[in-house]
Amino acid sequence: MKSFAVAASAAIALLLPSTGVRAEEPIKIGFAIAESGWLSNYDSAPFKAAVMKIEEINKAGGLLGRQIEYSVMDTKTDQARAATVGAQLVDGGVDMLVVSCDYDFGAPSALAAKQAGKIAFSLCAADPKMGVQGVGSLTFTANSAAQSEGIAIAEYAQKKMNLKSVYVLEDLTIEYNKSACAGFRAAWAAGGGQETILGNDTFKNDDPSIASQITRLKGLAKQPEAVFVCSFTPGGASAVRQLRAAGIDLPILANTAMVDNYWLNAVPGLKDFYLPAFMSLYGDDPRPEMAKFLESHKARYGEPPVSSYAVLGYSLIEQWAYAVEQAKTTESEAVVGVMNSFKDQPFTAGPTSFTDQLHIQVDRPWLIMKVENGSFHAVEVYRNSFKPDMKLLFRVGQ
Amino acid sequence: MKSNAMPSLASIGRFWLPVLALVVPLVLIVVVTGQFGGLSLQRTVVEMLISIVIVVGLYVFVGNSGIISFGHATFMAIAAYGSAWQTCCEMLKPITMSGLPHFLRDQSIPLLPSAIVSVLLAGAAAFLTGLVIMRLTGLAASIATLAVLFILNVVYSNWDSVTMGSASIVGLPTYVTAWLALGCAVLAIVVAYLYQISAFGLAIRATREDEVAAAASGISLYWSRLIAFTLSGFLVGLGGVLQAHYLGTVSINNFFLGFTFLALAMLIVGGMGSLAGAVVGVVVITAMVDIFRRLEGGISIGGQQWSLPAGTQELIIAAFMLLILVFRKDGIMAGREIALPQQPQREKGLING
Repeated sequence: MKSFAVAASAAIALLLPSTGVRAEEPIKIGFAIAESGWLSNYDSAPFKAAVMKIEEINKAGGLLGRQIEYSVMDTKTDQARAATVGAQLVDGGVDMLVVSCDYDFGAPSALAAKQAGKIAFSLCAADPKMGVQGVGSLTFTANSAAQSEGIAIAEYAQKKMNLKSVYVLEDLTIEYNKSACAGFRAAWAAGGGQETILGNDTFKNDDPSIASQITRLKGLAKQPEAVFVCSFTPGGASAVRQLRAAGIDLPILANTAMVDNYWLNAVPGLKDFYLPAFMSLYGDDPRPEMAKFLESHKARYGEPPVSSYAVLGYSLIEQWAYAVEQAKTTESEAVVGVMNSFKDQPFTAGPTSFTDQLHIQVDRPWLIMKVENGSFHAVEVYRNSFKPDMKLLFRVGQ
Repeated sequence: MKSNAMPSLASIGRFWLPVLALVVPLVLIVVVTGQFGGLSLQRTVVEMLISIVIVVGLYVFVGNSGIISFGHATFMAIAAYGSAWQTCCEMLKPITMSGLPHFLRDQSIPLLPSAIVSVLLAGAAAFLTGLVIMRLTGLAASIATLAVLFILNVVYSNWDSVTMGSASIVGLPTYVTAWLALGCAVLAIVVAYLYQISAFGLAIRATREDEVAAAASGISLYWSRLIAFTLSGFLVGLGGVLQAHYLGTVSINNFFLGFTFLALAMLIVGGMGSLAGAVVGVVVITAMVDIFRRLEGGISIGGQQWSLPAGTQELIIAAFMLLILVFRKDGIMAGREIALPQQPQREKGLING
């Protein structure tokens, strides 16, 4: 399948000069994503789900009566390659360009699309800069802002779990964590007061030990009721393990990057661990559309998605196709016009809103999940009421 | 009259031959790929030309002085960020780079002046660091350049209000075309050539061959190296500006060890003893990377689809470099310039000791 897609992409890039679009011509979607390198871990699951949605649309008669063709090219997790591949796909005449799951690596491709006046849609960048302000008015991302993860779990902890104080442990390695922590702190302070954040500490994902951070946490005059760890694997898993090994049995709150069971072996017997997730891969998601998505994925690929980020890729195609149908054209400005008018538009990934200023979700409901008996379990769907303002989204003055 | 003009023309030709032998093939590559190559090949050529600017810049110091520098990515980063501050994303700048001074934050500066200022900034930074580092010799100087690289990386990764920390600055105007990159590559080659045959160049090449003898002949190790280091900083800075405005993004992670080693590998494969070596190294490595990247992507031979497993390219490049180092340790060009037969013999004594 992959080699077919690569061959198709090569053929399209080489053979098709841009010709006038006729009604019977297929609609083309390009994927400038990482198929190798570390980012491929994040890109591959949503990509497979996006392909699944494209096939579903084609089976149902296509989009505007035209079939959708897709081509994929590998950015190799390299910014220069991402720019080149994006330009090649755009040159091959794609109607929409899907770009990598990360602002730093997706933006070069998105810029190429912008220059050609094409829509670029990131699979799952959680940075609001993947949008109007950071790239341009034709750029979108299928994910929620990282700040909203922190906000959701902060509100949930205060309102539903009745936690009164917290300690924040922040991984400074990538921007995503800093954004999630910023969102958490803002929402927690808004709900419970700044003074109930009993302390902040930082570490780096590849720190072998966070013993000194743990010592400082244990040395607090008043112990917190929970710890928020904004990090990602493997460093985040290591931090959680060290917290538990040091006898800290407080509830641990985390951000979405720590979701899914693959790392739980690292912390045997982990419990009281909560985070906001897109969906549950373990059959207990309360939303029927997620169960349906899971079923179709199993039917198509013979296995459930390897990561819950998959649903974002599926929903990306869904959102764009819906907008194309409404606009009755694939012409970028018209499609963006429709997308900007989405207000809680129901899609598989959840209600979706865009405005002419914001091309990322800030209050899409999250599925709160907890770890118990060696697996993540769905708790309930929760929608944050605190909305991040532009200052928080772009982390001005922080 | 005519008989007088002819020899001088020939001597001009001989004088410029090492440059022409490098520039003419590059022009041909640009013309041919511009006419017949696909977009991917054209972009590879632009990347190659930018690498030539950078590696020739690196050569001006490393090749002439014999001191390996791990720190040149520093000056690229300084120039690239300098240009980003001046030209990037007017809309986002006040929000994400709020720590910039007003004249940068609230307006964009025209492209040409901003490029010149950025290159000057890189050169100035090279001069200032060179003032200290060039007092050291040999390995100590190399390690010191590595330290400079680390210092810059830590500062720029954490200076959030000005550099956006470890995030990318996206949205620089992308004005770099194949012809502009070619022009800059030619400029770099000419500057490097004129420098290496000048009195300053001869002096520093003498220090490379024998420090004690050179010093005894009245050559200042410190000043000759400082001049090379500064000039090299200017050229590498030019490469940084080109790269920033070719990709449209600047990220501090791109100016760190991975890039440093790739640039040094290009120089060493080609042969760090000569300008031709610097250029040939870039061309060979770029060509190999591109060929194997295409093979990994898959080609069809006689209707059969066929591709190398992902990651082969990196392995083959590594093996190739090893082979070069084992069997031809002075690189492909082995310290020679491309010249008419009698010239290498005349200079051989100096260049190859």
